[in-house]
Amino acid sequence: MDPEPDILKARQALDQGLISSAKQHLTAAKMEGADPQALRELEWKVQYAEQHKHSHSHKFTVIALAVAAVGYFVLSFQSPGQWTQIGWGIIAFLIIPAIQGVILALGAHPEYDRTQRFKNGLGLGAAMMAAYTLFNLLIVSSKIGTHKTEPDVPTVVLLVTAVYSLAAGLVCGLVSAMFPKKEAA
Amino acid sequence: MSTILTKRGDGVALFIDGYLQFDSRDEALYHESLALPALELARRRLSYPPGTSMEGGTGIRQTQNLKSTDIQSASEHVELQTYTTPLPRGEAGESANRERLEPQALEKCSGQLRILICGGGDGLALRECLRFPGVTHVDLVDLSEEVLSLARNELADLNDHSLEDKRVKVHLANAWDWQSEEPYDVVLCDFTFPSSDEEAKLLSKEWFSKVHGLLTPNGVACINAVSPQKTPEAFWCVVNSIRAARMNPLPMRICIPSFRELGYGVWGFVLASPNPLRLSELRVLESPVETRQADISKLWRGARFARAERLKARSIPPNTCNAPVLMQLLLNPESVGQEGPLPDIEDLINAIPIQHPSHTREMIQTLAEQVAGTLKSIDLRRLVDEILALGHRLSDRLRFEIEKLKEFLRTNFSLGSSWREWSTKLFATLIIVLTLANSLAPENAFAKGHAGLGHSSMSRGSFSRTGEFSHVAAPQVGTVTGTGFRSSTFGGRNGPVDIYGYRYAPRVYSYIDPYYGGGYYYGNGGYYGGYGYGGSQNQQQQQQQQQPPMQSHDPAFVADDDMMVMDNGDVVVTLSDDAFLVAKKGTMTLMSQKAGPLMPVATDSAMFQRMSLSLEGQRLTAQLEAKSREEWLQWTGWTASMFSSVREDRLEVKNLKELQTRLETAISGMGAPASGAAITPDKDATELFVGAYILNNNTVVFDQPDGKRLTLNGDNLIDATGATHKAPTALKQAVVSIINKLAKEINGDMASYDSDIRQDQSDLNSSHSDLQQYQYYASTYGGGYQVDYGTDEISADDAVSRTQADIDSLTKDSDEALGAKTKAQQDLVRMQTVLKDISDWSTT
Repeated sequence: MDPEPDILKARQALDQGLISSAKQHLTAAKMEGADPQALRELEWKVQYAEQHKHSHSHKFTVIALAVAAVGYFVLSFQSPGQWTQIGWGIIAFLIIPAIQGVILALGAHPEYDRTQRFKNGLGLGAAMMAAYTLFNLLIVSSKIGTHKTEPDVPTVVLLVTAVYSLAAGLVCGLVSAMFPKKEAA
Repeated sequence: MSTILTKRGDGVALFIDGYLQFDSRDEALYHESLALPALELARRRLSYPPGTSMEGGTGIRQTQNLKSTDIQSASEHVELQTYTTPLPRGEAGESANRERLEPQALEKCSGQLRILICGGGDGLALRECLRFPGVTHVDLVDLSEEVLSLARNELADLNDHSLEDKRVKVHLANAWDWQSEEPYDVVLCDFTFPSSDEEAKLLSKEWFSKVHGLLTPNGVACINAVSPQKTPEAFWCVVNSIRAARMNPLPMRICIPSFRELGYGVWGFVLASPNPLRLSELRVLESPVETRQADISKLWRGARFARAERLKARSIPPNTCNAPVLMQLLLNPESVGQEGPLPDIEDLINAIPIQHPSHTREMIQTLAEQVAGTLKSIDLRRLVDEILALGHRLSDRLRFEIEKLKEFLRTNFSLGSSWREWSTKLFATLIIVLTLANSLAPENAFAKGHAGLGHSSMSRGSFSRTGEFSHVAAPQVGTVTGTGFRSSTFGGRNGPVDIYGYRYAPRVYSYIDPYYGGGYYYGNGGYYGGYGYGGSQNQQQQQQQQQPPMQSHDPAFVADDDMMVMDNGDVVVTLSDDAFLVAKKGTMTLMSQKAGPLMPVATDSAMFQRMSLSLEGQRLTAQLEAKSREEWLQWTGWTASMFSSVREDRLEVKNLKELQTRLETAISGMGAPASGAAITPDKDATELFVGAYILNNNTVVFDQPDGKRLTLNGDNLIDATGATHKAPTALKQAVVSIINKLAKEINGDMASYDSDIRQDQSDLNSSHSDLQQYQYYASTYGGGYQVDYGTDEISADDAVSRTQADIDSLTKDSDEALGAKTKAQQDLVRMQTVLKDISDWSTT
């Protein structure tokens, strides 16, 4: 049997980022008695691709982070009340996390399934909202002298941060998961 | 061992193995500090064992307190001095010093001191011991025949031929092997600076255990240690070694100029004793013999170490023979307890240990930096590319591996290595960005520009014309820290609240609106209507009948210690328990709690302006406070059902808004006096409150709104026309209560002035002493000589000028406090005179 087609397909799959497919063709090529050196090279490439599977979407993650940072930066210029509570809620919980989700989805690895993309979006959206909420709550609370003796305040801060983070994370995760999957090249 | 004695024009210096042992210019400072504290502590312990009181006495006094039978006859007696200023240096100076010291103070005490000196073969520490009263026997143990020979010949003059004294036994032996059947009261360890682990044994736990065994339970040892400045780890290692030998160490540091010149840093000694040794013992220490350079009474200052330094000591192990660490710590300071992330290249260079005393950190650094520089200059990626360019000459396998390396370098040394690293960086960036955002829009996050809202009384005089209202400062957020606004009832019967949110004891103010009927009533003394005193009997009665009954008002807000905003928006200034002023529509009325309105008093537009500003400042503060809480609630309001603190935040917002309304009412109700109204107080008069003074002739005058004056003299009230009326009882009671309150405040001020004056004097004495010392250094070593100035090291000239400036400033402060105290005394005398007169009136 000629192992060359499988070797070729494995290489193509690797080029498209389809590691599972590449592995299948590699196994087939082995069984068909392919050149050991070509096999070693492919094995290493597969191994390398697996190791760097997560860093593939690195650039897009950075962009999503930067966009969220800018968004929350602008949002910090005014208090929620000054944005109007509804307007603030829409921007903070819908628009910014949704943009993050879309960017993440665009950069997601082709082999990522919806669950993986949801998890990534949840983490990123929640982290950014947590940072924004926590920072603002701590600042606002530090301006209230009576809070220094209120034992409840840390719990309030944590609860509000957790709830807001979860909400933003869910939006980001859902958008990331629901966004049309990137087609393999 | 190499011993070098260098002779210079102004003295000699001894070096052993390259280390300076002493310089005759300041050796007395070193040897007096080494010997005298230990000797004096041991002497005191002999006379007053630990547990008995030694406080409050100098060495002289305690010597004088001894029974005559305890005092052995002294061959000669000289008057003892506790402290001397530095003597002139140089041969002439030393000669003069010796002349002053040769009639030794041999006054004996009850105990007889046995001393062991380990090392110290130069005889200089021995010299200090021999001139100390009560010393009967000294064993000097030194390993170096050469040094002992120097002490007997070249250094004999310097050490006062101490080795030839009958009380001294010199032993050419290793101190490590020294044994004695009879214990010693004092052991002085004056070894050379260690240059090997073997020599460092004499600063080990095992050695200090031997010293422990050689001492009496109350005995004291003094150890010449190392520099706590240059090698702090080694210094604390010595201290910990002493502690490990079950002795109680008391470390101290002394600045020895010649050591500093050679870069040895501030030098360290450690006092140690089997029984507890406290800093308090050092504080009361005075040398019973005259000192030449050391100030024994101030040594305790050098025994104070910062908490950070003492904490550092905890992580340092003791030096033992089995685990010698001292040399490592001496050669490699800061090599202990280094933990944490991987060091960068500079840290790595610093981490290379120095293995030889002749090597320096700089040498190691230079060498290592060359290697590091070479490595840094390699462009690894380019190297790999170059290798691959020659790939055709390499085997496939090797080429494959290099490709892997290239890929690795591309991915791992590009923008970052991992998501975690990037997320950390971005999180930090976000925080910075948000901080910037909040800086650009401070209103939403930070309140800036706080100038401080004090909470002191308006000033003496309760409500004096010169009184500054502390709340005139810019409003700020974060002021309200008390819980006064977090309860459902704000002000009222629960007591007023101040802008800080603190609640005050409730008090009820009873008065009649001063605008009702436009007249004033003086109890039984007559009626003051409009701006003229008098009126017919019928008019008086008619006016009294027109006045409504007194109304009670609760203060809602404390604007300053004495200024209240009432529940009806009136502004009241408390003068005493019985008297207060009501500020309304630009006028000020003196009220009696019992009798109602007493008289209108002159108003000052500047004062009204300050009051108004104070209230306005607090209104704005309340506004800001409410705003910050509203912002908090915008984030967290939905949790109110879960957390009581959030519910209280809501209540606080409501109360702060209510306060704003009340303050607005108060400001508008208070109004402003007619323009041009201003009061010029009598010079030197004692001010009771705005427009009321005690004059030099001990009469009380009240400035009236029309610029005229009423004078209270005896039982009489004299109006501007000179007509005399009977002074109403309510007015006299009010004046008495105001004076009583003021007198209490002035007495408090007097105590404060006394304290200030005492402190200034103490500081002045200390500064004069410092100045003397700096001048001495400047004249001896030159103006550029570096001296300790607080935590800095500056030139002696600079230290002299700075200390002189301190003295000038302190003198000015002291004079001002003295002037204020004199004025307060004068005021008190006047007040007492007026009180006495009024008391006389009351009884007549």
